[in-house]
Amino acid sequence: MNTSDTQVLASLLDQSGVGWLLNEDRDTRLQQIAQEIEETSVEVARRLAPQKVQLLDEMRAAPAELKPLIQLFASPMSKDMRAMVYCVLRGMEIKEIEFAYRLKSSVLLRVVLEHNVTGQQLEFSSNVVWDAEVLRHLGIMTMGKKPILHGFYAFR
Amino acid sequence: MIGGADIVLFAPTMPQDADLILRSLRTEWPNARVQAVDSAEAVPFRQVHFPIVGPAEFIVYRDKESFDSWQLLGATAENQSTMIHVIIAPESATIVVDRPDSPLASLAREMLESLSRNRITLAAA
Repeated sequence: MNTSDTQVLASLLDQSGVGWLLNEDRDTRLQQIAQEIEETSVEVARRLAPQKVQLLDEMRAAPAELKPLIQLFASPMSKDMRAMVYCVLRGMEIKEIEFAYRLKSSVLLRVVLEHNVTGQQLEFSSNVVWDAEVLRHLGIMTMGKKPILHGFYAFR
Repeated sequence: MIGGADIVLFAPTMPQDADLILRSLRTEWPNARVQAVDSAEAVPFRQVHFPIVGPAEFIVYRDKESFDSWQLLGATAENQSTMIHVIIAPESATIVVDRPDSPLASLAREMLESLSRNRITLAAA
């Protein structure tokens, strides 16, 4: 990552309310986050092929739109769930969520999305406990008293 | 429109409000057409650029036929329940529907109630 990209990334983290991440080991953390952003880009591109995705460029172009995703790079989250969050932000609909947990034993998070253009179903799953963080950012709604989970939103 | 009722949530709005309402309307009316207030065109949901962030104003028609009817005839007794006007301003969220006692008005109240609850949960996240 060049100096310009480093500055952009630091600025994005700061604008998104997680600039405190860089208070210690700034250079190391920036390199790590840049690598995680690249890994997430590859994962999103793999799932949405042939669509090309460069997350850092999109973040730079639309920081307010992708603020909820930028904030997730402050958490030790899997690239699969970050890819899922990107897909939700860009308009895909959450069709199913399963969450199972047993104390000191296991955790499972499984999310099924429907592509808003192709109708294709995409499944994301994880056994990483930190990925439970995504559940706290979903929009919660009822329509006709029926449960709906839509969107993915930033904390302040 | 004929009749018309403003269902309003008076409180400072959050960046996610318009996005959450629009995604919810997509579930209710999957074939809807969405019209930005400064546009003559109405597009299907697959052409909407998500996420919507901050204040926004848009009109959602149940389907293309509803949009065409409104364009051609304006409000009529037949088409008035096929359109919702959403206004997310800095200090209030308003959903304009056909009548204060209609099923659409109930839906609007439910959406605004959900919005206010999300403000609490997301602020605490």
